[in-house]
Amino acid sequence: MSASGITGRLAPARTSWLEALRGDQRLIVAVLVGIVLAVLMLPPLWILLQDSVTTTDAIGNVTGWTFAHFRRLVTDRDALRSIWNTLVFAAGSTVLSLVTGGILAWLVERTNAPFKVLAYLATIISMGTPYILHVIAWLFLLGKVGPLNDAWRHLTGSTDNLFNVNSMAGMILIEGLLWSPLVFLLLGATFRAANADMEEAARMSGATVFDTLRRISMPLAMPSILALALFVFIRAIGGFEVPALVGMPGRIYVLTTDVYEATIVVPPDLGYAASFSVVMVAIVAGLLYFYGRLSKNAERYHSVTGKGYRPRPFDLGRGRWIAGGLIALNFCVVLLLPLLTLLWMSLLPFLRSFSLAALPMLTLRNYRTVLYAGDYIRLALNSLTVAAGAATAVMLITAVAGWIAARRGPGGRTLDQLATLSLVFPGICLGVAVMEVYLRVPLPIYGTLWIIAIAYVIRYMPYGMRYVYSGVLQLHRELEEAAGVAGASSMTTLRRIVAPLLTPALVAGWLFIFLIANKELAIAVLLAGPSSQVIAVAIFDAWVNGQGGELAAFGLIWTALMTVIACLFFAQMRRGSADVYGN
Amino acid sequence: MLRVAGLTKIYINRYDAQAGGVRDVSFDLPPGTFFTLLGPSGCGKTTTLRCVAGLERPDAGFIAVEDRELFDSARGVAVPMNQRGIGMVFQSYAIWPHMTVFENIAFPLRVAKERRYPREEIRKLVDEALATVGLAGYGDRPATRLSGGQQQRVALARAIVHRPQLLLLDEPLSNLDASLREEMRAELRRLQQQIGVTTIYVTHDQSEALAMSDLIAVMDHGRIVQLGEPRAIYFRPASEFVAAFIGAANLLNGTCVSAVTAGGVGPLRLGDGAEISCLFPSGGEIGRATTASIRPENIVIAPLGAGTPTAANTLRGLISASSFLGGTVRYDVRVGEYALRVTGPAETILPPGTGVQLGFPPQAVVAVG
Amino acid sequence: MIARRLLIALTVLVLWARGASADVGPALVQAAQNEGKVVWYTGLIVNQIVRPLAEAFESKYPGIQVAYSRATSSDNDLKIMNESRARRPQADIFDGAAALVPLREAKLVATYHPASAASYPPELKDPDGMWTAMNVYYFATAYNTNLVPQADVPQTYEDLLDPKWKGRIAWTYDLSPGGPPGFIHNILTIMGPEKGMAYLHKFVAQDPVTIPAAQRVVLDKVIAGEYPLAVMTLNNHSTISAAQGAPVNWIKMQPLVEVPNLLSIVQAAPHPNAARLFVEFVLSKDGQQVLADNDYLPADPAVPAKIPDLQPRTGHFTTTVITPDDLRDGLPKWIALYHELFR
Repeated sequence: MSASGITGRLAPARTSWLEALRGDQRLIVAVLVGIVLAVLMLPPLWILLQDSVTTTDAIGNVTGWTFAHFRRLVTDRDALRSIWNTLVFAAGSTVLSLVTGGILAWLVERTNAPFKVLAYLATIISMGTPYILHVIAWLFLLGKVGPLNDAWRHLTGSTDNLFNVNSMAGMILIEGLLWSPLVFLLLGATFRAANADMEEAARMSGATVFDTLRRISMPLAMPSILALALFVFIRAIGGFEVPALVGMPGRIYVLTTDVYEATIVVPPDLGYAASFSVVMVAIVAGLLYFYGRLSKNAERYHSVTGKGYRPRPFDLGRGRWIAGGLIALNFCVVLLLPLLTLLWMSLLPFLRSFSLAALPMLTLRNYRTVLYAGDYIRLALNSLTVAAGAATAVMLITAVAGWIAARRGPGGRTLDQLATLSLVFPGICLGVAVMEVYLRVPLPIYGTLWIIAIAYVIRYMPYGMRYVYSGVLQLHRELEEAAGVAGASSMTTLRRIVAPLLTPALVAGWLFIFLIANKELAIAVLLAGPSSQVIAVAIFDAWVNGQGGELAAFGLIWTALMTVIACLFFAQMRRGSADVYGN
Repeated sequence: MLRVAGLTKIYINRYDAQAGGVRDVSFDLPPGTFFTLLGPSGCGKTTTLRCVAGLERPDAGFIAVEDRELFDSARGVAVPMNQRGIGMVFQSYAIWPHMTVFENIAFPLRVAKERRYPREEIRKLVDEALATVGLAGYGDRPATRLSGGQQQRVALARAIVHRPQLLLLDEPLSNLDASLREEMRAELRRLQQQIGVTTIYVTHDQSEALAMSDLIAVMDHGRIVQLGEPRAIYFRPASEFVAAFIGAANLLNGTCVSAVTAGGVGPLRLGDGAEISCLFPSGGEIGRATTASIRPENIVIAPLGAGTPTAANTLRGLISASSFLGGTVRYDVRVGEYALRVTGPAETILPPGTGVQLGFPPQAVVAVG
Repeated sequence: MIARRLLIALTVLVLWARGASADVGPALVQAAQNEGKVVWYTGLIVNQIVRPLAEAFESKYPGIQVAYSRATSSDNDLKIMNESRARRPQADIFDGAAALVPLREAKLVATYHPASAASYPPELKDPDGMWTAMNVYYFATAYNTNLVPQADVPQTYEDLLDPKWKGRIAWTYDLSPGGPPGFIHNILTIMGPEKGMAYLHKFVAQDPVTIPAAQRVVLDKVIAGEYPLAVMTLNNHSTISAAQGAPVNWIKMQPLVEVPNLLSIVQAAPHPNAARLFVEFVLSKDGQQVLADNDYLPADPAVPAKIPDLQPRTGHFTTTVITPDDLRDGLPKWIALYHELFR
C-alpha cells in the first residue's frame, strides 16, 4: 500500500503506427471510408482545374496548356457583366426571401397569429415541388399574357405590360419566392430556440411588442440571420432554373447560364466553362468560410433552457387578423397561385391566358397522355430509383464518416472536410465536372442513370454528414464507452449501439436527400441521357419542346406524390429535435 | 492484485498551459479491496479511473492486474479497453435505451471474444446478476422504463455479469437524491463484499468515501496527497488540504517552540501568544511554522464561568454566530485573530455575544504541515 | 461470257465499295427484330410527328421498340459525340437540318443507301450515303391574327423594320439553319453582302426576343398572345395549330428558307439493322404518308402534302434552299455573325 518505486517503467509511451492500426479498428475503417470519399469528391475538382488551363481538340484530348480561358474571362465585357448580374441577382433574391420568410417565421413561431397551418402546408408542398415547375408557373402568371398584365390592360386600357418578367426584377422576384419556404423553416427554428427570458424582461420593463422586436429580438437573432442570409446567397449564386428560363429570354446572363451555354454549343467550349466554374467555386469557397465563422457565433445565442420550455407567444391583439392575412397571402402567393396555374396549363391543349372563352377548350388529354402514352411512368420510376439509391449511399457512407468525425476519431477532420467538399460547387459546375470525369474514365456509365446517381451522391454528401454529425453529438459518449469497456470492438459498438440510436437522424437525412435530389435541374441537365431521364430534366425538355400541357399535368401528379413523402419527412423531424439542415 | 505505478497524463489546454490530468500516481491494491479516489473536481480522480479502464491513454506509467500487464509505457504495451475484462459503472449509467434490461446486462457476454457463451449460460449469468442487484424478474422490461435507482442497479449488474477481476465505479451515486444515496451506499458496499471483487470507486463526497472504503487516496491537482485507511485519513490528515477536505477542520497557524519526536505531543505557540498542546505525527522542529487542525466536534464549548476547565487545552472566545442544525448547534467563535467553528449539543443554544471557553485534548489537535 | 461475269463481279465490287446497299428483304426485318429496339435522336416535335411515326413503325414491325429523344441539333450532336468519347454509343439514328455537319467531321456517320429513296431527286440524298432527306421545312414569319390586323401584316422583310414591331418579334435560340443563322444567310443571299449587313444592323435595333426553346414554343407564345410576330417558324406548324382553332397564320414573305430535314445512321450504332429498317420505313411510301397525314411536308415528290399551299410549287412562293454543303461552309460564319450582332 505504498507508492511503487518501479522506476524503470516510467518512460513516456511510444505509439507505433502499426500498433495503432492493429489496435484501432476505427482507423482502418476511417481509411477505407476516406478512400471512397476521396475517389468521389476529388476528381471533379481536379478536372475543373485541369480543364480551365488546358486546350482540347474536338474529341476532348488535351492538347496544351493555356491561360487564355481566364484571360477571356477578365477581358470579355460579357463575362464581367455576367459576374455583376450574378451578384445583383443573388443579393436581391436573398433579401427578398429573408424578408418574406423571416416575417412569416416570426409570425408563426412567436405570435398568436391564426392560420399557422397554412404556412406549414406551403412549406411541405414546396419541399416536394421541383423548382422548375414553380418557375414555369410564375413565368405564366407574371408573363405577357398572364393575369397580372391582363388585369392591368383591362384596368387601364393600355396595350403595354405593367411588368416585364424577363428582367432582373422578375428574376429576383421568382428566385426570392423560391427560397422563401426554406428561410421560413430555418428562421423558424432559430426563433423557436430563442431565449424567452430576454424578451420577457424587456416586456416587463415596459417595452411594446415592436420595441422588443427591434431592440432585443432582432439583435439577438442577428448572427443566425446573417448566417442564413449568407447560406441563401451562396445557393442563389448557383441558381440555374430562374436564370435559364427567366433571364435568357431577356438576354440577362449570369455565371451559371454562361457555363451552361458554353457546355452545349458544338463543339463544347469546355475550357471556358471550366474557367467560369473555377471562379464560381472560388467565390463560393470564400463565402462558405465566412459562413462557418458566422455559424459558430450564431450558436452562442441559442439558449440552453432545456426541452419543454417554449417562449410565450406575443399577443397581437386585434393585429392578429392582419397577421393571419399575411400568412394567408403568403400561402396564396407561394403555393396556391402556382399550383392553380399549373392546373390551368395542364387542362389546355395550348397555352393561353385565363379567360372564360378558354373554358370550353379544357380537356383531360394531357393527363391521359401522361398516364398511358408516353414514357412518364418509366421516367418517374427512374427518378425515384436514382434518388433512393443516392440517398442510401450517402447515409451509409456518412453514418460511418460522421460518427468518426463527431467523436474526433482518427482522421475525423479529414473525413469531415472531404465529405463537405462538394458544397463549393454550384450545381451546374458539378454537372460539368462529373460529366468530364466520367467521359474520360473507362467506366461505361455516361448516359446511364448511374452517372446521375453518382452526381447526386457527391452533391448531397455534405447534407448527410450534417444530419449524422448532429445526431451523434446528441448521443451521450458514455453509451459507447460502456460498450467498449464491456468488450465490444469499435465496429461492434457502431453496429449494435450507435446505429440503432442514430436511426432517427439517418431516416431524416435519407428523406431529405430523397426529396431534394429531384428538385434541382442543374445537377442533372448535362448528365441525363435520352434513356436516363429524371424529372427535372424531363420537365425542362418538355418546356423547351413545347409540351407545356403535358409537363404541367405530370408535374402536378409528381408533386402530389412527393408531398406525401415530404409529410413523412416533417413528421420524422418533429420526432427528433434537429431542424431541417441538421442543426 | 492491481498495480499502478507512475501514472501520468497531462492535458494541455489551448493556451498551452497544463490543465488537469494526473502526475505520477501509484498504488497497489490487494484483492477484494474497496479503494476510493477522493478529491474535488479537476483533481484527476476520474482521469486515473479512465486510464485504468483504457478509455484514456496515459503518457507514462504502468498498470497491471494480477500478472497481466494492461499498460506499460516503457515497453509500448497498451491493451485496448475492450480486451481488459474490467467491469465499469459510468456516472450517467449509460443504459442503452433501445434494449431491454436483459439485453443490456447480457451485452458483455454476447460480445466476449475470449470465449463463446452459449445461450443457457448467458441466461443463467444474467439472472444471477439481476438477483444480486435485487432486480430479479426485471429482465424483459425496456430500459427506458427504469427509475434512476433501477438504472444504477442495471449498470452494476452489467458490470459484474462476466465476473471481472476489477470493478470501476465513476461517481455512481451522484445522480441520485439524498435519501436514495444513503441506501445505495450501504447496498453497494454490501454487494462488493459479497462478490469480493477489487473495486475502484471515484467520488468527491468525503462522507461516502469514509463510509465505504477500505483504502482512500486523496487527490489534489493530479497527485495523490495521502493514501491510507479512512481513520488514518480522518484523524491524521497529512496536509492542510486533506484536513480541510475531509470533514470540517479549524486550521490554526502557529510556531513549534520545541523539538518533538514523530508521533509525540508538543507545544504550539499561536499567533496571539497562547500555547496549546498539539500532536505532531511527523515530529516538529523548533521555530518551524506549523498549521494545526482541530475538528469542530472535538471542541467542548461552555459559557465562561461555567466551572473550571478540565481539558488540557483551553481557549477563550466570543460567539459570533450560532445555527441550530437539528441534532447539533454550530457556533462560530472568535478567539483572538482566529475564527473557530465549534459543534455543540442541541439542548442549550448559546446566543451570539456569549463569552465562552473552548476545551480540547492534545490528541484532537493535529499538526498538518 | 467472261465479260458478263466480269461485269457482274465489277458491279458487285462497286456496290460493295459504295457501302452497304439497300434491301428491305425479310433478312433485314429478321435481323432488326432480333435487335428489338431502335434509338432515335430527333429534332422533330414529339406529339406532332415523332409519336405517329414511331407508332406506325411499331405496328408495321411488331417487336421493335422505337425509343426517341427530342432535342435541338446541337444538343443531339453533343450527346452523340460524348457517347462516342465514352465508348458507349446509344443513338442509332438522328435527324436534323444541321446535326449532320459536325458529326460528319468527327466521322460518326455511317453510310447507307436506302432502297426506299431510289426514286428521290438527287438533291435530296447524299451520293456518299450519309444522309437522306425525310421531310422538308419551310421557315416563315408567323403572326397572331387577333393582335395584328390584316392591314398591318408585314409582307416583305423590309416591313419587319417598321418601328411598331420593335421588341415584339420573337425567334428561337437554336443556332441552326432553322433559326437566326438561317435568317442571316437568307438576308445576305437576297440582298447581297453590303445591303444585307445594313439590314441586319437595323434588325438588331428592332430588339428581337430570343426564346430559349424550339420554334414550336416560339410559335406557341405567338398563339398565346405574348408576341405578335415570330420569324423562322415552320409554316406547317402554323397550319396545324390554326386547324385546332389557334389565332395564327404564316406569311409568304418571299423568299422563305427551305431546309431539308436529313436522316442519318450513327457509326457503330448499337442496333444497326433496326436503324436501317427504320430509315427504310420513314423514306418509304408508308412513312412519307404518315408525314403527309400529320401536315408535314414529305421529301418524296411522289407523296403530295395534305395542304398544297405549304409547298413552294403549289403554294406559289420562292425559297432560299440551304443544302448540307452550304451548311458545312457557311454555318460557322453565320453563327459568328449572330454572336457579333445579337449577343
